[in-house]
Amino acid sequence: MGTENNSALERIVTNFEMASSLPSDLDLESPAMKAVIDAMPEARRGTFLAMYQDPDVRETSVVFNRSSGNYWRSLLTARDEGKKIVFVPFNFAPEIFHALNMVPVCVEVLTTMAQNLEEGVAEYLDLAVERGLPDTMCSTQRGVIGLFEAGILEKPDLLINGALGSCDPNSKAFEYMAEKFDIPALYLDIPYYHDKRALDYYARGFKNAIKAIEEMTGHKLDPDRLREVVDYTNRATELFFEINELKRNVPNPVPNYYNMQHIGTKFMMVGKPEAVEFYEKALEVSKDRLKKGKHVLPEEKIRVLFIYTFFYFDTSIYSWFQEEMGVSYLMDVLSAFDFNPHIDTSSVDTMLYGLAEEMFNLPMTRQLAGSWDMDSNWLWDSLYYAKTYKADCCVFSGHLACKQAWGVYRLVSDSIKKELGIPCLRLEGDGWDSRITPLAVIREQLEEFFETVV
Amino acid sequence: MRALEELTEVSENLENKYVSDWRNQGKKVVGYVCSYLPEEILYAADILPYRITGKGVKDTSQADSYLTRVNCTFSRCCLELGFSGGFDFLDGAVFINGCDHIRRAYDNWKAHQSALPFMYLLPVPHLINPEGRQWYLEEVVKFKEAIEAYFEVEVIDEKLSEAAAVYNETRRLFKKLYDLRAKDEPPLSGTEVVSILSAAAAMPKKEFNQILSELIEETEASSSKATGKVRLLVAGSLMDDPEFLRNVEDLGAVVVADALCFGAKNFWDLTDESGDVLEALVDRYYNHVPCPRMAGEYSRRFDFVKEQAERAHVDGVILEHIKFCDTHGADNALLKKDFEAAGIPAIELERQYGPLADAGRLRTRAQAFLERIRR
Amino acid sequence: MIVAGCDVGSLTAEAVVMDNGNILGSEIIRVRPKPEQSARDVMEKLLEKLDLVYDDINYCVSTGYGRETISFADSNLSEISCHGRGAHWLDPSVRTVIDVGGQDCKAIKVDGDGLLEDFVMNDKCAAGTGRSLELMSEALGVDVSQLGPLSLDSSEVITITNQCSIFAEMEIMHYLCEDRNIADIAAGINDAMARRVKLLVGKVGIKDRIGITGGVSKNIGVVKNLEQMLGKEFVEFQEDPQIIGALGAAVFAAERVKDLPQRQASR
Repeated sequence: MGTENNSALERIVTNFEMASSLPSDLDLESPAMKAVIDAMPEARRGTFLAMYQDPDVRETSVVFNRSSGNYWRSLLTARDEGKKIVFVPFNFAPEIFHALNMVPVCVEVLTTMAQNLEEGVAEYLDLAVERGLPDTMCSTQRGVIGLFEAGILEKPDLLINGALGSCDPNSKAFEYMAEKFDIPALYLDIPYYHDKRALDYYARGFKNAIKAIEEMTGHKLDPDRLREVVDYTNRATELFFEINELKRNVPNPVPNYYNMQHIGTKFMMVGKPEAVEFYEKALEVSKDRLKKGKHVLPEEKIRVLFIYTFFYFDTSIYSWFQEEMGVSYLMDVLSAFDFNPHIDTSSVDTMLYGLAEEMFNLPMTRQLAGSWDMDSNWLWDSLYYAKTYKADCCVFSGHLACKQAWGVYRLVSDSIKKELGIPCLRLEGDGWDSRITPLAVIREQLEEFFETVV
Repeated sequence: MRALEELTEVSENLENKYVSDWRNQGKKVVGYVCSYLPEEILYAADILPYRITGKGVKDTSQADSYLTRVNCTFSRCCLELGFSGGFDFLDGAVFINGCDHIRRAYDNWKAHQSALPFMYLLPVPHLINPEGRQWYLEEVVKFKEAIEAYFEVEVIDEKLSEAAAVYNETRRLFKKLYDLRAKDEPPLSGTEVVSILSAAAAMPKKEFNQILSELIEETEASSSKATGKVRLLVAGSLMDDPEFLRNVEDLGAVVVADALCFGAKNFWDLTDESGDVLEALVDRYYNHVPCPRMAGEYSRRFDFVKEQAERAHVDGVILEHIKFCDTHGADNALLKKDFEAAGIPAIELERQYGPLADAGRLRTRAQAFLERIRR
Repeated sequence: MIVAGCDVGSLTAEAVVMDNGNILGSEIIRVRPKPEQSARDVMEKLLEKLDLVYDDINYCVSTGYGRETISFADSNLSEISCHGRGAHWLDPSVRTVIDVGGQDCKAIKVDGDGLLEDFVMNDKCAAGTGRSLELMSEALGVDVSQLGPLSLDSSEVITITNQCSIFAEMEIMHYLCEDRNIADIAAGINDAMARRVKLLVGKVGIKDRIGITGGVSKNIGVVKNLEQMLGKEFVEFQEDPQIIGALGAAVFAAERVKDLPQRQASR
């Protein structure tokens, strides 16, 4: 994308490539590695160790980081190859752009990646506010807005938002970017309901959006390419369903950190062979762990379901749970994909409908549009995941900008308690901004909660 | 100013005398939120549409244990009233998925023991296009059928047409009133207008129209004119409580125009009375000056506020938003930039609704803004 | 013609008396429970020092948080206008004024006459105000006035990452437990403060030259950090920057008294 030296993307890509070049038989204890690790800022060190300390996790991390590195690298050369770049929110499936030969960037993932910039993401979060954005808006788009404001992120050719109706800050952030930085934008409406009529409406909107994309960008949907992409998607779905099956085991053999990489893969790489490769590796590792009776250390004491998302500024909690606390992180409800459809590849029409159905079941769209106690909404999903994966307790990592989740958290947690008898911990903070609630405080609260649960 | 006094009184009481009279006749009253609800359907069913408010709430502790401190104070005040029986005179409540805060207020109220016997949410698309319009039409029809079924009434086209005419009359009268405000010597303060708008949303429109006509006559004849004051437009988050503007106007300003969902945005567009009335109502409500919840409509919103500002030749624009209201907050940031670029001074004011209002800080900022304009 | 300005803030109250464009004197006190009392006490202290009485003051403008309740003032103006005006009076090259008071923080842009062009003021949160600086210095166990000088001895700034004052205090305690250098922590506190202020200043946009007023302007650490972040040097005021609000009020008073030719000598 950018060619100037201060391009944020270029630096993010370089970071990833460095991480992905690390071999799976890495010796973290070697003096050279120790020096490297010591030199990292704390949050980055936490995330790094979460990815590389455990040898099993390291195996999936190597594949994940290599694919991600390639993916981000492709962004840098996209324009030269005549490919248009589109920014989307995390509830917009990337496949259609792979089929259109465009490069999609998930804004929320980009903010997460920007955590690894040397200077961190905080100053960009602040810069967005300094230039006018209300500070109650969500940090996960604010990071990208700040990078635009700083002039170190090249503008995409197109913005598409598919969060209308499920999250006001998300959709407003896209409109704000479109207006402020003069970027063409398309929007996709999400109905309040989650039934056939709603899906049909949503699919019509999706198909219209594709037509509009074709007109706006000159890219054309290639049916053969679409089929290839959807085949990869279906394969990826089969694989992560199989991994989820393994999670039902007590103790759960699937490493906690898989969840983080699963999200990254799902939001960026599904529809590409790299995603399949990652899931194959994760499945292989998990099966092997099951065979060898491996689980969280020292033993699985607690199976926790995160009913919302997670904190992303420092992902060391996954490994802390895994390596010290005996806590199995089953999944987070807002990025679990048990309702991902198998897409019918018989025609372009069925494939597009299938992709729309996939998106219709993506996080937030599924659980936070509509009313909390509707079928397939937040409570329904929380109960399903808690029962299916035998959770002992739940955690709500209350991200302060997420007003619609906060607004019914009490109803949801009370109902979980009533229906299943399991407790729920309410945390408060910002998923992308460590300055709001520090990790140490979050860890303390979790520790205390787990003590009372056990 | 008898008419003004009467309307002010209506606005100051939750169950005002028109509501009581209506109920005493054995008729139903249904509360609603948001300017995307075609009130005419209720009116045609001989049900009084009553716009839900959070006025007069002293603390929100009950609501706060469900909605939280990151939810806006308006939604919390409304919920508090719901929880504490403040709306027991209503036979039902109809919500819109207007924004994340208000739809969650609905969820919490509906799940609570204080829920009214008829609770309904009419979902409105967030995008203006033919598919969205069709969806909205279907939802409006469903809503009409729900009303008919629950209240055992029939909403016939003839009654709908009558309602549409009455409501259009209200809108025309308001335009007239706003023409008076736009004059060099505005006869009414913005504070008074907020009370009038709030009364309009809480009483039968036929009676309201009568009083508003009187009020217009009275004000045309009245001699109390505000001159030498800074002329302001106010735009932003929902406002049905006159306190905010009273604070600003006390400092030597007069609010002469607005772009609020209780105000100009709510009455500027008329319903076409010539064709199919339900279709016309759907068009009117779906396409009316868009709330910032509608995606991709920023330029229409800016144009509208600017048009209002120019009609009333204002000296400055107040862009207020209730804290945590991201739809208006994000819009206001853009509006601030665009108004300043157009040479019209603008100020963004973050505020609270109800008991948490921080009058002191607000006054400092408002006063400084007036000093900036007067320099 | 003798005029006065009186600024009653949340932590301190200041008074300035001017005569024909000259500052006769100024006074600062800690606030009393009621603004009116603070205003009287600071004004009387100053009048006594100058050997004047209330009746000698031809016009008084009040400003600050308590501006509307001061009975001896002839009119009031927002502290935003007054800080801009006062700073510009002291140095006419000033176009941007940063005022960091006890409970709020403002960035003020003025025109060539020292009159308000645009401004922003922080929200209710204590972060980025004198109050938060006090809380953090308490956590560190030093007087707030020592934060600035102390930070100059720092060799390696410890970044205070938490924005919320409560968590920031915890963070400071944590560093103290780790036995980290107190000067480095002080530097971190000042750096954090400067960041918050910079965020606000950015909202209004900087126009050269810049002045800084209010209590926090006395903290050399915050001032140096801000200068570095903004890439500009602040003007040096010949007066205590804390009195600039009251001074601006007095400048306005001098202007307003001219508009009152038939003023009755009632006081």
